[in-house]
Amino acid sequence: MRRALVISFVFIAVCALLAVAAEMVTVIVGKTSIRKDRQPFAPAVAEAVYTDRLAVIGGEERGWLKVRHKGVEGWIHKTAVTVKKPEVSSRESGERVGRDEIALAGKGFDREVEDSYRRKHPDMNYAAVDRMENLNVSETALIAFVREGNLGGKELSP
Amino acid sequence: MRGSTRWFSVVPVAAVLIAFSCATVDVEDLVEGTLDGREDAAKAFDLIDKALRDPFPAEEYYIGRAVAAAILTRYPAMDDPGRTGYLNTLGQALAKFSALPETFRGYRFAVLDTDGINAFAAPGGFIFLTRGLLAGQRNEEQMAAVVAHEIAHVSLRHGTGAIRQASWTKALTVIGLAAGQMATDSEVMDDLAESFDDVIDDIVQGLVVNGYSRQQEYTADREALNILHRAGYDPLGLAEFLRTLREKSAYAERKGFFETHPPAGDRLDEVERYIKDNRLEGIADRVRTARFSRYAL
Repeated sequence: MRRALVISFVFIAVCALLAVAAEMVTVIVGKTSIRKDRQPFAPAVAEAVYTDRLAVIGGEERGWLKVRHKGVEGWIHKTAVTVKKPEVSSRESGERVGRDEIALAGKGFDREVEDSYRRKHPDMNYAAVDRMENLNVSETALIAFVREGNLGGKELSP
Repeated sequence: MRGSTRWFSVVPVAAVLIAFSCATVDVEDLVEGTLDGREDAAKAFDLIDKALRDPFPAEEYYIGRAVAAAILTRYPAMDDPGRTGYLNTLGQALAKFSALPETFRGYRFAVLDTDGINAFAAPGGFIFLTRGLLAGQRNEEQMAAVVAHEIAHVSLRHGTGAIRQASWTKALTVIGLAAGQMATDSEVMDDLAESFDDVIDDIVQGLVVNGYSRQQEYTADREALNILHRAGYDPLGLAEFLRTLREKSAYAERKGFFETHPPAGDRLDEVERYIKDNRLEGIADRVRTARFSRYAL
């Protein structure tokens, strides 16, 4: 009886350790949705932003990873994340950079480098680029466009 | 005998611990410590080696903004909210069916106000189609085909592929030294800005002057067909567009689009073969044709 209890305790402890040691990935896009299913227009169950750390809780399926973020489980496209740990550049946060990993962008070409480039090239039409960036179409409108055009097939959740 | 056995069991553990501690030498010590110049150089090379990588999405975004600024300086964007809105709705929806559904800040599309037939896809998802290119299209399938082709260039990273090895290695060298704090802030910024300049020049030269390689164009056509198929568009839209282009190229001057892309006839042969080999199908839809007509040029 005692032996069975010890074995059960060890088994539970090992499972807990394995859960804690889940693979972690880092979000590398500005903002993204964690979705209910492996589809680009599946309902969003959570939002994640640049450098958020997510726990991977399943293998890759058709380019999507099952993850957990702030207690919520869902799917994220594999190209929106990386296995590297986030490090923030000293220029952006005032903190020292990581020792072993020359990791995410922000150490290289960032807003400060762009500002320097713009001072050197004042003729470059960045105003037009800013206007172009404002041309974001809401996901609701995209879904309506896809449905209206009888597009999407099984990629579009009912 | 028992004491000798315990000593032998400790040695491999000690060796592992010593090796592990060497691997975690603090880089910050290099700057503040009393190591000699030769060891500093060795550590610098180590940092640079670790920095070897492709651009991250956030870097592609800033590179893409600069390339977009260069393009929009040469060709103004069309001031037509209706057509631009339609193009962005179609393009941003289509991108969701690509191998890179999201870039750092998302895909954006603009119509360049020029009669010339041309298209450019900058890193990060900044995509441009000229008024001349759009004017030749007859339905949404063909427009989607052209847009899918440009999205494919972005998802396949053809834009950053135009960066010369020397330019990118120089950039990574600066980034590596910056991360190891082996240069002052002003030295780092000057060098980074200069590297950025080189990188932008390389890409603009590649996009606007030279164009992509023939192989990259064929690869983008195949990936475009995959995107169209996943989205539910008739992939024959790309074949129809190339047929129109082939007719135009017969009497057009060899400049702009016709100079930077392989012959339309060759692309058409490849596209038709890929559609047949992969049994790609789709049906042109009346609703899509009707909404295209509202915005046709």
